[in-house]
Amino acid sequence: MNITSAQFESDDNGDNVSIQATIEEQVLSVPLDPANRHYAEILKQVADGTITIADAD
Amino acid sequence: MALSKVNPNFVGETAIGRRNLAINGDMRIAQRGATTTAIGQSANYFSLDRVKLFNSGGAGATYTVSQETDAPTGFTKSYKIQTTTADTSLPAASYTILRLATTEAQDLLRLGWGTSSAKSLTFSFWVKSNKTGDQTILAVTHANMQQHVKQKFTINSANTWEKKEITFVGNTGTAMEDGSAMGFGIDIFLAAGSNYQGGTTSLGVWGTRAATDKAADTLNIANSTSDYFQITGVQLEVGDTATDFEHRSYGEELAACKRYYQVVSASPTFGVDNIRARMSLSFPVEMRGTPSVSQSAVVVLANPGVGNVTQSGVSFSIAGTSTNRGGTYQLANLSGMTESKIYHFGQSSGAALLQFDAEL
Repeated sequence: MNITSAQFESDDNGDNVSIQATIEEQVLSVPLDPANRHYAEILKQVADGTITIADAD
Repeated sequence: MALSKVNPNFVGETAIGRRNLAINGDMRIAQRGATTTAIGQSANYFSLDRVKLFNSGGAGATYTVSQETDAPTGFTKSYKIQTTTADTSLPAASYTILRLATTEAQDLLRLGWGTSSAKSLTFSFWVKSNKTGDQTILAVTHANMQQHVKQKFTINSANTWEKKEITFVGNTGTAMEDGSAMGFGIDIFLAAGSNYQGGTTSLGVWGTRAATDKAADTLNIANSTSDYFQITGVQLEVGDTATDFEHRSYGEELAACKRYYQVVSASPTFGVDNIRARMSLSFPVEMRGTPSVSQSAVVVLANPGVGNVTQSGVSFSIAGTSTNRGGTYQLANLSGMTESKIYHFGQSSGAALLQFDAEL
């Protein structure tokens, strides 16, 4: 899975609720749910050192 | 009724009730649209529901995926992958895989895998291609199992619909863990580099997914822009016998697809401030897991009292609570919104769709 960017998104309280990621050239808002295939792949690529997740704005 | 009057195909657990484990086997559901062009290096679901395409490993081949009305008798639609840029010298690590009949682990526990009475699975389908010859086909377990068993089929005549039936023996060695994770799928390596063509595992023997002969036989559709592979009538059923395709209603099949992917084309929203709008949605079908969200095109939010607002670019995100049943979502890249005013998404948004993906 080709992931070219990843950044946390936060709710009104400032808590991270999702990751905005560009995956296969599509911008997605990915939930922090290990059962979600995109989130699972983000975690894998972070563990592999392939990508990092930027802090929320 | 005398037992002799009962069709033996309807006796026994494999043929009673819902037989086909594959969803959208007749290729009628295409929530992502009927055609996707210029598919380069990617691993995703394109056009037709429940069919995943991998084009990975650096090959230069590109494809178009489409829903076709060309189909064998008894069917009205088929899935077609057409090569649009050929690669006649595939990198060793490259592959093009069609993944079909992906199934959640929890729906396969009745097979009794990991026991001496593990049940077989039979996969049947109609296929058509300009290429003839042998093609490896794999039954693959995922999640905790990570194994595959190899078989092959042969396309005998070019450009002709042919029905194929393949039985995969049950896995007596490893039990599948319960849950909604991906438990099983059928992989067809339609093109592959040398890394996948060097092994010697036998047909019908379960082994690790690391085996290098996943594509011992391949039609290699990446070779020419004349190459295509077309499929429909996909059925995965318990047992060692292929029965007639189980036709289900369009509505039933669509609802089954929505467990994995669905779109929203209209909803009320309210202005959060002058640049953002939010909506709360409840999915008509509970999804497999919490979905990723995206949008297909910029939207226009309409309020007759204060005027329309057009997004400057796509921005659709999870705004707070989000589960497999629904949640609160946000559209941004707006301007001139009025806080707390209701705006209609869908009234003037053309073909823009909000997309929810909980695929395996």
